[in-house]
Amino acid sequence: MDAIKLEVIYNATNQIAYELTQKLMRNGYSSIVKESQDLALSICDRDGRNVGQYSPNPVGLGVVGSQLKGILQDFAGAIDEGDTFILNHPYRYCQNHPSDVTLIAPVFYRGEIMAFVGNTAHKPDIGGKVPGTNAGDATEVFQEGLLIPPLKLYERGVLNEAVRQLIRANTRIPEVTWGDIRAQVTANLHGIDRLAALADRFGLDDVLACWEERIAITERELRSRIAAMPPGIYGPVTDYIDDDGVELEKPLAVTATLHVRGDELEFEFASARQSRGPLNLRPCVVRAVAEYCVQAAIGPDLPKNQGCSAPIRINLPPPGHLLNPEFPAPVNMYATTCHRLAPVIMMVLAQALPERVAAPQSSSGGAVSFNGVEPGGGGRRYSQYEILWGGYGARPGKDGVSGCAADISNVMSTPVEALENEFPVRMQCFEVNPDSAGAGQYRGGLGIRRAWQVLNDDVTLNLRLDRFKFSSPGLFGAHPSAPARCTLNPDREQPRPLHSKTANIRLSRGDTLLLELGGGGGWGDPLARDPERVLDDVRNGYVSLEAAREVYGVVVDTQSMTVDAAATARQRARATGPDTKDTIGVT
Amino acid sequence: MLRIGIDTGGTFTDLSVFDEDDGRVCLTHKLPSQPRDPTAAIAAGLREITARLPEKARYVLHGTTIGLNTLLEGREPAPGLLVTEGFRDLLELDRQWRGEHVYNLFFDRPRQLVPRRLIRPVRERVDSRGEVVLPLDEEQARAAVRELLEAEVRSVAVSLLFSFANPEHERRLWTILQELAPDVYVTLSSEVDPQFREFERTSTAAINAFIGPRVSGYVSTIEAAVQELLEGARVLIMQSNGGVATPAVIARAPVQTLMSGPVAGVVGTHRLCREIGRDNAISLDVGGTSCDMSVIPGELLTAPQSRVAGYTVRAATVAIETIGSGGGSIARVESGRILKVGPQSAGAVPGPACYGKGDQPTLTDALVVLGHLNREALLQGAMPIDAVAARRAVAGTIAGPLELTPERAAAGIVEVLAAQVAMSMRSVTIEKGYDPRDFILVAYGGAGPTVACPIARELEIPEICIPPDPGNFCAAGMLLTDLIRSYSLTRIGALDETPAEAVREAFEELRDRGVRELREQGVPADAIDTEDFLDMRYPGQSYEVTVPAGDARKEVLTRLFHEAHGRLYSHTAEEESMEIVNYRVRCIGRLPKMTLAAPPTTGGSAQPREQRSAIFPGDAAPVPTPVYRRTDLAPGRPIAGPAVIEEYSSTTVVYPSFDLSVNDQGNLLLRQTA
Repeated sequence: MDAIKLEVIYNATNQIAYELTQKLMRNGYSSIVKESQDLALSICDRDGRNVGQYSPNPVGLGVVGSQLKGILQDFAGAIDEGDTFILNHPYRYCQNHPSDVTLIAPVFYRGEIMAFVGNTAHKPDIGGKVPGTNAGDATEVFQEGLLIPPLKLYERGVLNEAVRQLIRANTRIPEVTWGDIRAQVTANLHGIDRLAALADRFGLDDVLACWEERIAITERELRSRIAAMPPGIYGPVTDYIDDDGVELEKPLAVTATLHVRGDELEFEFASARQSRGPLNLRPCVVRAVAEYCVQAAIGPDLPKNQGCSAPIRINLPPPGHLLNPEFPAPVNMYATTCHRLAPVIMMVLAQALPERVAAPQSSSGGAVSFNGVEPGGGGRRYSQYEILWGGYGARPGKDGVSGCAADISNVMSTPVEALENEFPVRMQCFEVNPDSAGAGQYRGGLGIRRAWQVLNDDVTLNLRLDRFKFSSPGLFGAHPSAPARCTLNPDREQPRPLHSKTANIRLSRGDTLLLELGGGGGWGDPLARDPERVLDDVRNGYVSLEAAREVYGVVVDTQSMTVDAAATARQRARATGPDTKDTIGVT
Repeated sequence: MLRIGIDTGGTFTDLSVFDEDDGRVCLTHKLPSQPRDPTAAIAAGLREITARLPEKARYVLHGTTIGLNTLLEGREPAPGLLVTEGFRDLLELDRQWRGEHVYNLFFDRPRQLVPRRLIRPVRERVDSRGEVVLPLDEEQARAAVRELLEAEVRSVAVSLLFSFANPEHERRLWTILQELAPDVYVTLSSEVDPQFREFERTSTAAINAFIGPRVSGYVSTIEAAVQELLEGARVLIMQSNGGVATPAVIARAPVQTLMSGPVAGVVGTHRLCREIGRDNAISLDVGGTSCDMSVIPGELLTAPQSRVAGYTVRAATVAIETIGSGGGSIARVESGRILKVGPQSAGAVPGPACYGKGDQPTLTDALVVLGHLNREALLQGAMPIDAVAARRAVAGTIAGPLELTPERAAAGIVEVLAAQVAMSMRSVTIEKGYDPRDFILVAYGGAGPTVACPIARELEIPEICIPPDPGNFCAAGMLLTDLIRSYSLTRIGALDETPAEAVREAFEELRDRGVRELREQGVPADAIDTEDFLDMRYPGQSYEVTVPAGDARKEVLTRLFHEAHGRLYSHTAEEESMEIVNYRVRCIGRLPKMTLAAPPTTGGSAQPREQRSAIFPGDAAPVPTPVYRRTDLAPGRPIAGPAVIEEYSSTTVVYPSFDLSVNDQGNLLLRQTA
C-alpha cells in the first residue's frame, strides 16, 4: 500500500466517523444528545477492532469494541445484512450504565462483512426507579432502567416491532427515547452506505489493508513514546469517593500503580469492595479511562484506534470490587467513579511525566435533576436534567480553566433562558465560586455556584454529585481545592445541607437549591506564584484578600491595590517552614 | 456612474474603479497598506485617483478586516459589562465549553474580553415571558456605572437576562449611561442580538463593545475622506451576512462585519451562477494558507452563529467552512510511512521552497514539480520560480523517506490535499442535505483553479467554472452586493397556539424596522425587498430549523418545516406538533446591478504559447500539455485536457479527463468527460 492511499483512505474513514457523529447529534431528539453531546461513535473492522472513532466526549469510546467482541462470539454465523443490534446491559457484555444504549450494525460489502458501525448515546429516561432513570440510591442494576441484552432490533432490515413496543412501554418519555434510538439507527445506516462507497472507490482489499496498517503504525508510535518514558514503578496513588449514596459513612478508595516497562504500560488497580450504591465501574470502562489518560499525556496527536490499546495492560482487582463489580451491582453513577479514577491515573502519570499532566480536575460535577408534572393541567411529566462541572486542574505553566468538564467528559450546560422557558424554575445565579480552586504556583480553575428556585409543587430532586468530603488534591506542593456542597434554602433560617447523592427529595414552590462546586487542584507551591498574578486574582475576585495572604503569602495594600512587596517577603519567609499541607503526587 | 471598490490587504491596498454601465474596470490603483493606520492608505489612494476619474462616483464599497483584526490582536482597552445580578461570569464560563480537542490537557478558552473586575451586576430581573419580576434598582445601577467610569472604560456592553423578551431595563441603562458618560460607546445585547440563550447574546454584545470604539472611528474617518474627495458618493461596508451597510449602521453594530472577508467571493459566486444559468454552486476559494468553501443551493445560506478565534458570535454570517489547506500547506512524512499535507503553512515567509527562501515542500512546490505551474515565473514574470529548489524539497523531505520518485511524491501531495478538501466539501454539502453531484464547482483564489479538477473528480461534480481573474474574485464580489440588514426576535410558542395575527405582528415589527432603517440609509422604497423566515423545531429539540415564511399559513409552514427537517436530519415526525422559536426578517436594499462582463480578449488565437511535459495524479507517465494564455482564449470549440491556462493572478490546470470551453462572459468551463 503506498503512502498516499494510506493517508487518503484513513482520512476518509475518520471523516465518515465525524460525519456520522454530526448526523447523530443533529438527528437526536433529546437535549442530552443534541446539546450535551453525550454520545460516541466507532467504526470497527470485521474482527471488532477499533479503526476510527469520533466523540466530542471520550467517555463512550471504550464500550462499542468490547460489546462487539461479545456479539462476534455469541452471534457467530448469525449476523446478516440489514441487522442492527441493540443493547444496554452492563453485564451483557459491558456498558457504562443502562441509560447508555448502543446500536451496532454490520457493514456488508458484496455479501461479506467488511466492518461494523456502532454508536452509544445517553437516554434521558429508560425507566428505572426515578424519573430520569439514574437513581443515586439504587442498589441493583434492575432499578437502573430497562435492561436490554444484545438482541436484534432489525433483522435483515425488518424492524422487530415487539422490541420497539417494549422499549416505548418502559420509558417515561417514549417519543424522545425512541426518537434518539431512531437517530442512532439512521446514523449507522448512513455509515453502511458510506463505508461501502469507500470500498467501491478504493477497492475492499486496499481499505482493509489501510486500516490494518494504520492500527499497526499507531501502536508502533505509542510504544516508542512509552519506551522514552523513564522506566520504573510509580505510585501507588489513592483517592477517595465520598460514599456510594447508600452507605453514607463509608468512603470508597481507588488506587492506581503504574509500571513503565520497556514499551508497555501496566496499570495495577485496587479499589474498595463493590459498592451497594451505583458507583461500580465495569471493566471496559476502567480500560477506557486508562486509555484516555495515556493518550492525553503522551499521544494527543495520535488517531484513536485499536493501536492505542495494545501497549496498555490493565490489572483489575478481583471480582466483587468497585472496579470489577459482580452482577447485579448497580452502576448508574459510573461517571463519578471515572472522575475519581482518571485523576488517580493522571497523578501516577505525573510522577513519570511531571511536565505533561494536569492536576486533578474538580470531579465534583455531575447531574442534578428536577422532576415533576407540568403546571397548568395536561399531566405531562417533565425532567429537567442538568450536568454541571467544577474547575479544570492547574497545568504546569498555566492555571486551570474555570467551570469546565475534564478527563472523560465534555458536556455543555443548558442556557438559563432555555431552562426557564421550558421548565417551572427561576435561576438565581450561575457564577464562579471564589476561593474554590486549589492554590498553587499555577492554580486550579474555579468551581461554580448555581442556584435554582422551584416554581412548581411536588417536584422531586435527584443529586448525583461528589467531592463534598474529599476535595481535589494538588500536585507538587500545591493545595487541594475547596470541597463542594449543596444547600436547600440557604437564605432561610434553617438551611438544609444536602448529601452529595440523594434521590427523591421533595421540593415545593419557592424552595431554593444552591450548588457550590469545588475548583481544580493546584500545581506547584502557592508561595512560588507570581505575586502580580495573585493580585490580579484578588482584583477580579477569584481569590480573597485573606487567601492571598494566608495561602499565597501575598499581602495586598488595599488602598492602592498593589502588592506590598516587603510585607509579602516577610509573609512568605514565615510560611516557608516545614510544609503542613498533605498533597498527593509529590515525587 | 462609477463604483469604487477598496480592498485592504496585508501588503497592498487596492482601489478598483468600475463603470456601472458596462461593468468593466476602468482604473486600478495599488499602494502600500499602512497596517497601523489603514485609513491613511485609503485616503491617500482616493486622493491619488480623484483627478483621473472620468465621471462621478456613486458608491465606494469597502471590505474591511478591521473588526476581525481588532478582535484577534486583542490590544484594545477592555470594555465594561453590565449584567443581571447573579450572572456575572457567563462569559468566562462559556456554557462550560471544553472545546473539541478533548485529548489536549493544555487547552484554554479564548482570552476574556472583559476582565471580571469590569463586569458589574445590576439588580433587576425579567422572566421568560418578558414580565418584570424585580424592577431595575436604578440607584444601584448608577453606582455600578460610576465604578466602571472610574476604571476609565471607553465602551460598555449591557446584557441582561431575557432582554430579548423585554429590553426595557437595558434601554433604561442606556439612558443612565448617556447621562453619566455621553462619550462612552454603548452596546445593548437587545440591539445587536435580540435572541434567546444568554451566553451567546452576551458574547456577541461583548465583542461588539470590544471592537466598537476602534471600528466606529475607522468608518467615520473613511466616510469623512470620501465626503471630502468624492462629493455625493456613498460609502458602503461589507458585512458577514453577504450584504453591505452604511457607516452609521456599521458604527453601531461592528460585530456584523467580523467574517466579511471571505464572504464577498461567495456573493460573487452566487451572482455568477445566476448569470451563467446554474442553480446550485459550491464555491472553492484556495489561498496561501487556507481554503474556504460554501454551498449555495440557489440562495446564500447563512449561519446564525459561529466561533471566531474561539469567541462565540451570533450574527448572521454566510455559511463558510474553512480548512487549513492552501498553496503554502507544508507536506511532511509522519511515522516514517504516512504522507500529511497541512494544516501548517509556509505562509508568506519563508513561503514555498520554489519562492527561493524556504526549504519545506508545499502544495505550490508539488505543482511546480508536476509541471502544472510555470517553472520559470508566476504573476506574469513578476515572481521568479526556482524549480530546482521545489524538486529538491519534494525529493528530500517526501520522496526519499517514502521511496517514491519526486514526481510520484508531488502527485501524492496534490492527491492528499485534494482528498482532504473533497472530504470536507462533501461533509458540508451532505450536512445541509444536498448531493455534491448536483452542483457546479466555482474555483477561485490564487490556488483554487490548480486543484479544482481532482476535487471535482473525487466528488463526481460534473462541471467547474473558473471566473476571470480568479485571484481577485473576492474584490469583484464586493461590487455586486446589495444592502442587507438581518433582524430577528425570539418569541417561543407552539405553532398551533400562536394566532396568525401574532405571527403577522412579529414580522411587521421587524419589517417596519428594517424598511425604516434602509430608508434612512437612502434606499428608495421601491428598491426594498423583505424576506421572512421562521426558526422552528419539534418541542423538546434544542436546535432550530430555518424555513422561509413568506406564506405564513400554518399548513404551509408545517409542510416547509417537515421538508427542511427531512432534508437536514433525514427524518420527520409528521404526527408531532412544532414550535416557533425565532422570527427573522432579511431586508434587502437593491443596488443598481452590474454584470460580471468578459475581460477584453485579444481576438482568441487559441494557440498554445508552449508545450510542457506535465504529470497528473493517477497517471504514471508525463504527458505533453499545451499551455495557453487566458487572454488568448475565446468562446468556441472545446479544448480537450490536459491543458494549462495561465493568467496574472492564477493558473488553471485542466486534467486529462476534462475538457475546456470559454463562455460568453469569459468564464472557463471545465467538464468531466470520463
